[in-house]
Amino acid sequence: MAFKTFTAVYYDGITSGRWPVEIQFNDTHLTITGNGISRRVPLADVRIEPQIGHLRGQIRFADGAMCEVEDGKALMRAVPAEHQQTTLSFIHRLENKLHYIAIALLLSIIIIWGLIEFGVPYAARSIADHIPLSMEQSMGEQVLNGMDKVFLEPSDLPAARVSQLQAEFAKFIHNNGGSYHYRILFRKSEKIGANAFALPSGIIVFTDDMVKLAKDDRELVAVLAHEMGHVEEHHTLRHVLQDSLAVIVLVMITGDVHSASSLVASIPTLLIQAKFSRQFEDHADAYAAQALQKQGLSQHWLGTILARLEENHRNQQSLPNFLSSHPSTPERLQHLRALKLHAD
Amino acid sequence: MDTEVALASHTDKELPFSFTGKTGEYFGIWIVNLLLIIVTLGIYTAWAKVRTKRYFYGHTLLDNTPFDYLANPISILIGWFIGIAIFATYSVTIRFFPIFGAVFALLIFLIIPWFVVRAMAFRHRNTAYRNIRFVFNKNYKEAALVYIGLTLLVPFTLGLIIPYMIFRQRQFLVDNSHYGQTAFNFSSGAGAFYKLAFKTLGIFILMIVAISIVGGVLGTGIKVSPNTDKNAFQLMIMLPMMLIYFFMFAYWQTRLTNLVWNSIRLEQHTFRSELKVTYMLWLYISNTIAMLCSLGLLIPWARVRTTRYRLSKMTLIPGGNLNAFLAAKQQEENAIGEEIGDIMDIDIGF
Repeated sequence: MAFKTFTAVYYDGITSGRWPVEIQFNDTHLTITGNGISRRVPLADVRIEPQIGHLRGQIRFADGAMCEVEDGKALMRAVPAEHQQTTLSFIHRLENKLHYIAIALLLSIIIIWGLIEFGVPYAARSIADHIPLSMEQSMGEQVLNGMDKVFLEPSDLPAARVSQLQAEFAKFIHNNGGSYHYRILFRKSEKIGANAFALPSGIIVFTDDMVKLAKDDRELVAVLAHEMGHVEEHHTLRHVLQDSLAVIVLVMITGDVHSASSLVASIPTLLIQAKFSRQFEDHADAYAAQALQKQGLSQHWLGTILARLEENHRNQQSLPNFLSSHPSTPERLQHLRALKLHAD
Repeated sequence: MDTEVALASHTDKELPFSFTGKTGEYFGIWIVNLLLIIVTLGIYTAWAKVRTKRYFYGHTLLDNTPFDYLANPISILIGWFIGIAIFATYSVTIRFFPIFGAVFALLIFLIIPWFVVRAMAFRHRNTAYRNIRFVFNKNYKEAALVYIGLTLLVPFTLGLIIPYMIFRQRQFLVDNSHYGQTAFNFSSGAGAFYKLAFKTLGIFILMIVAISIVGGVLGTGIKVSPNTDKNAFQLMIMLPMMLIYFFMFAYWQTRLTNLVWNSIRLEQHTFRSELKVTYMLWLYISNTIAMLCSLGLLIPWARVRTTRYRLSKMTLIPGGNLNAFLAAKQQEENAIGEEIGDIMDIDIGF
């Protein structure tokens, strides 16, 4: 029978003393000798810690004692396979083979990309489609209440103007035949300027500046159509879910990136969320173009109001495209033209 | 057994800590962890964490003996599930019901003492040196006092209590820690924390004043016209502000770490930490840039070099025999506090 011998350090688990010993393996037993210690233990009764890198090898005994061997890899070779944890030793081999690592790396990148590009949007869509209308309504009310408190004020528009617009909007909504009961609201807001936005459950808010910015009411109808696109396709819900899911995916992956380096995790999150947002805007534009065409209106009106909005906002900020929550206006106009070609 | 034949433990000379982990080797562990975490939808996180910690602890040597990480992945997995569930609920709900954010924040604030105690207990219980585990006293009452009570006083004292609060929190963590049966204790008073806080604040104010003077001089010289280079001008202000932020962060963190470690006693044994602010600043900045430019691939490199530097500046000054510490009997701890804290990025530790 072949014996394998190692020099080791023995810790009894009771005191912090270190005892130099010699250990011997055969196929079934382990013998420790030296410094007045003499133990013979069946291999089945000890736990050999799985190897990681070139860490020292550890043998743990049922009574809490432990033996440490300088060359952990040599120890693993000496221990019969049935006394090792096979899954973890497979992982150890994986970690040490460069070509496996290259494959792991490539796979990781592909899977993360796939998750963000397809998995997250798909999951968000399936969840959003199953959220009951009543819950959507209560969310919409909540968000509106919050906005009313923080940056929206009652509209200053003349009542006649409001009811005229409401009538035009109602006609468009009726003819469009969506699945929601829409509520169009007008609000004044100095903080957000000219803008319109859709909340869950069919609440659409126009700011006074937005109404004033339009040179033709058909432009406002085009904006309405765009916002209806957000509502009909559950964009608000899906957007929030996608953002949250993406964060969860990134937290799962980078869960142990700490303090100063958390910048490393937050930048990809921002980029991903901005990309999601631009995709939703493109979809809403496409929806609007179709809806307008259905009622014999030119999608040209969406183009003109977008261009004027862009001009209006230009003085306030200009972010490079990859940081922006909306596609650049030239890009949007180009997409609209492309849609038109298809329709013709 | 007889102590005389045990391996000599040098009681007469200082014992430096060292880190023997290798970037290449850790890169392999890290990338395989990443892959398995992704394909198991996060479940492997528990095993990944244990392997990573075992690697880092096992390469942390003191007197040529490594530290050990002994946690059971299954108990980490349970904590991880609970943490992810809470985080997911929170991040979705908060967007639609903003009021919930305030309720949640209050809730988190109220259970922080519990988090801290549970996380420390789990971490200590699963850390060993020379096969003797560390122990953390589960002193919830004092935790509530230092993490809730003192925090509530911050507004009423115009923030003047903050250095005292930080002092009491560190003292709490150290005083409740044990190596086996032997208690650690914290020898610093609040004065050193006030001194450090005022020094940090003073340097911060000086730097802001200096920047404003330089900025003022340049501003009058350049004549910012309304439509040209608004961005360039903003950048000129933003860049120095970011540098100041990084510097203050590095300064405070480094000096605080040194202060805390230099105040820790284990019976007659003491510690010394001599981290340099400028080198830590260099590490923070170069690591951040390297990780960003490599899309995260240099994370293992950054971690290994940071750990190596930190440990290379730590020393144990023994005041007697290191062979005579006794193990303590203790129960298994669950990892719920530890994992929730990790996911919410609540920083716990010395």
